[in-house]
Amino acid sequence: MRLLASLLLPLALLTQEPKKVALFSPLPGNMASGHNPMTDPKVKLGRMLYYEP
Amino acid sequence: MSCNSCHDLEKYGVDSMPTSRGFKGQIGGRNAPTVYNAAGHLAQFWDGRADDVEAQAKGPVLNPGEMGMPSKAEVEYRLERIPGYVELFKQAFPGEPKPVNFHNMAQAIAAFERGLVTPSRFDRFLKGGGGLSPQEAKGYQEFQAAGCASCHNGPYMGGNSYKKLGQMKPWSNESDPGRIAVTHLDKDKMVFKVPSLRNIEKTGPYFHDGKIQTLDEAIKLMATHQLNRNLTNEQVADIGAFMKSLTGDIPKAYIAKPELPR
Repeated sequence: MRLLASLLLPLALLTQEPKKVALFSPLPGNMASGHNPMTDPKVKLGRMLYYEP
Repeated sequence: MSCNSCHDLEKYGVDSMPTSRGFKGQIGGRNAPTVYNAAGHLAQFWDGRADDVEAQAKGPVLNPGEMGMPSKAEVEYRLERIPGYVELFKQAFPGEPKPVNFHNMAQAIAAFERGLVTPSRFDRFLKGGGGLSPQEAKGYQEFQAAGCASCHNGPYMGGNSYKKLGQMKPWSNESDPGRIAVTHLDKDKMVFKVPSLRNIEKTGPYFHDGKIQTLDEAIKLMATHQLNRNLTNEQVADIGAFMKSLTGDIPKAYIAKPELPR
């Protein structure tokens, strides 16, 4: 019985609050910006510079 | 030293120090925030003094307390002496008459940082692809009921607003006045960017001064000083459990250290 309750609890909590779920959203795949496009050569160079001592 | 010295990509983008050390071993004034998921924030640094990661990437290089390079010209001179970098800048900024320059250095670092995202179980939950554990789900409800989500919301669970630290009860240490140093407006005294809770389990110690060692203590302090609430130990544990569902996957292939041109 306790096991069943523990499985159902999350569902019960979350279905009670559909509006609050809208406060959050998944991470995007990347954080690209129109003013600095993530081209492959630029990202490759940036990765090297990030580690450059 | 490199960007990775203070923002170690293998360690969730932090150095786990209260405040970082500069190139001479000097101690910095603020905790190094993680670079993961940071490019999506409304601004950079604890006080928001850089509009974006492109502007941010220029700061530490010339900061005498961090990397301590004497000038932009010196940075450019050093890069131009490495043929491999000259070629890579040409490829990254095609058609530019002088691609090796300080501005482009920051643009390239920022472009790389814009790919540093760490999706977690919470993202999979939001997409309907998986559940939270019972304690995490309880913590998720407690998190919202306590009011944490009034500041920590959106895809980054923060990073999208500024708030006064000590909104309901004054913060114990006001030696760093925060954003007022940027705006010179009284209303910004003790105001800081709301940090993201993404990977918060892995990015301590906490707050702008790195004075708080544990996540539980950070949760209690936030409840008291920002929300005027006293949480029970059980509530703190539940909220902490929920926050751990925000620990994401490090993109190992994306961050793999390349062989550097010489």
